[in-house]
Amino acid sequence: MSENTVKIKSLPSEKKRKETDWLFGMSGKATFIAAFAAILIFCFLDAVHPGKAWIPNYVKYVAACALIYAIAGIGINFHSGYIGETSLGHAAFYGIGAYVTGFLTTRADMNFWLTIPIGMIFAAICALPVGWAGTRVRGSFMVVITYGYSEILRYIAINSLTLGGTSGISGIPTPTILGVKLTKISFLPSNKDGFILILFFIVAFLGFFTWRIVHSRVGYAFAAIREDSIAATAMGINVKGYKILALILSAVICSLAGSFYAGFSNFVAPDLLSATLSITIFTILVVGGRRTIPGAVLGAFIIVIFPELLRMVQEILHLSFDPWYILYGVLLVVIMRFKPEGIFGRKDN
Amino acid sequence: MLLETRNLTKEFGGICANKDINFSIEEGEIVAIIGPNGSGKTTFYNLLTGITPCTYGKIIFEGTNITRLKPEKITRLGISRTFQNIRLFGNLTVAENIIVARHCRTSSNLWDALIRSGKMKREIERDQQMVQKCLEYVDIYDKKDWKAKNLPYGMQRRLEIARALATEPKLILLDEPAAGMNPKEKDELLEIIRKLSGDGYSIILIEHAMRVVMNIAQRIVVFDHGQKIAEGSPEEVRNNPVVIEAYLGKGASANGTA
Repeated sequence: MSENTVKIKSLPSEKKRKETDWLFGMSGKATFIAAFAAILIFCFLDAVHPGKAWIPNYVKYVAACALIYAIAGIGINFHSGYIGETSLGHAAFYGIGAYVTGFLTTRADMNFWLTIPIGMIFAAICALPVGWAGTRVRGSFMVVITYGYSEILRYIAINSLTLGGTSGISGIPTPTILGVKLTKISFLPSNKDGFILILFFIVAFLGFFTWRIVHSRVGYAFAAIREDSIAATAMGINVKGYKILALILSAVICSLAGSFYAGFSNFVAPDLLSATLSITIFTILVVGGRRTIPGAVLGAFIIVIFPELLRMVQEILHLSFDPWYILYGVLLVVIMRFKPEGIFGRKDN
Repeated sequence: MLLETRNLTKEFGGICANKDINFSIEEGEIVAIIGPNGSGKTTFYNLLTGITPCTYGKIIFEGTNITRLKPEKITRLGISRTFQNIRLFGNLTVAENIIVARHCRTSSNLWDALIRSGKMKREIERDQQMVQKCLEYVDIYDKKDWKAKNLPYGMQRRLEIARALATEPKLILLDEPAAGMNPKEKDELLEIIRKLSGDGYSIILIEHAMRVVMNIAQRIVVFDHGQKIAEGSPEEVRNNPVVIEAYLGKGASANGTA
């Protein structure tokens, strides 16, 4: 008993810091923030220094893709992580963001940055029926509801002529800031990429946002619902309300990711609403670690960078097939076998 | 009158889990509810706390009709409960379990969380004080950083009481708090319940352990087959032939009246 006595003044955060000494005596959080800052400074210097860029465009392209997925991963974390549900339909919200941006920028000539909040609001409204249905069910039923919902939206996209049908919407303009295109910051001598910087800031902000919420009254309510929703009700927590809130938060953030995808790739198609993408978003979270912020980001990088690396392997070894398709499955099985809580996840014991 | 129910009835399909229950508790009173398994005691708690809505009847708490209120509103008005099968937030720490229970007494929202507003800081400070107060009340403050599910059984029961206390209730509903406890733990529990009563909390207690019930209850209500069959002081109830019949069957009555 006595060895577990803790001083009255010690806060939980101080204790956690001691648990995870990662690098140079820094905590996990500090390590992560330091690494993040280092990459950001490097990217920024790369963007502003004269002459040829240090980072090849190809790497920037992959990194931007990963960052967009990281936003989606942070988004789904609210629903499939903190509130403890499982969703195989978050591509619906990702697709909503992408389609709203695609539609409004091409058909209505709207500014890209204006379409983002509109997409978010639209995603939040579209999340309401799922959220409402989700308050009555749990677990595998929620999986079916979310999956069914994204399929509905996919068929609407396929069959709607205004949304371009199966060929989707192409020719979405690349977003600009003060008249400068994000992919080509033209006042600089070299071909630089503004997307990465913006996406980095957004991921950093969303990470901060998530962390603040999780360590607040709302976050504790999420945790209580995840642990035992009946006890949470008895403690005065509005379980239905918070479940819908978590879904809306995740829908809004996924929609943000989708909007950026539309601006980044200049093209949206019904594939964005497919179950494959839903599963990818969910896998990002599970591989990285549910209920972790670095996990959602790292998971996205693994899911995006590994296929690219393996494509290089394929080229070097002159393989006739893409090894990714085999190794992807193997990777998931190995991670789930040896670290079922995900790379950054904590064991519940 | 702190709490009063009038003709409270709950039907599950054709089964009447609670039938026309008229029940009341005064401020500061300890009332025990006893009865055989399946007699509707826990259902009665679920009705009082709003977790299951009643079929008909009325629940009046401090003069307000709370019959159709949502559970979270009822908790905010001052009714808190523990569970028969322990329902702690197992993967949260002991202190966090208390903080969760503070939910109904705090109000910071997403925006407060994002900017760490002064309101939220004040609430966190107050929460920390309540953590200390509630955990010291049941004497498990030294375990505050343990995960709740790693606590020994008796302490889990006590944490449930501490968690109920953290909602700042007026009325505490204890659902078999002594279940599975050894005699020493039962004595400690008696001590806690006496202390609660001394501090002005009103308590309704469902319990099978007669040692606990007879020792502490000022009034006992007996349930059987969803109905209230008897009510009175421990002495009266102990000698009531109807109660003896409910527990031991016909012909077992000590007076032979049945």
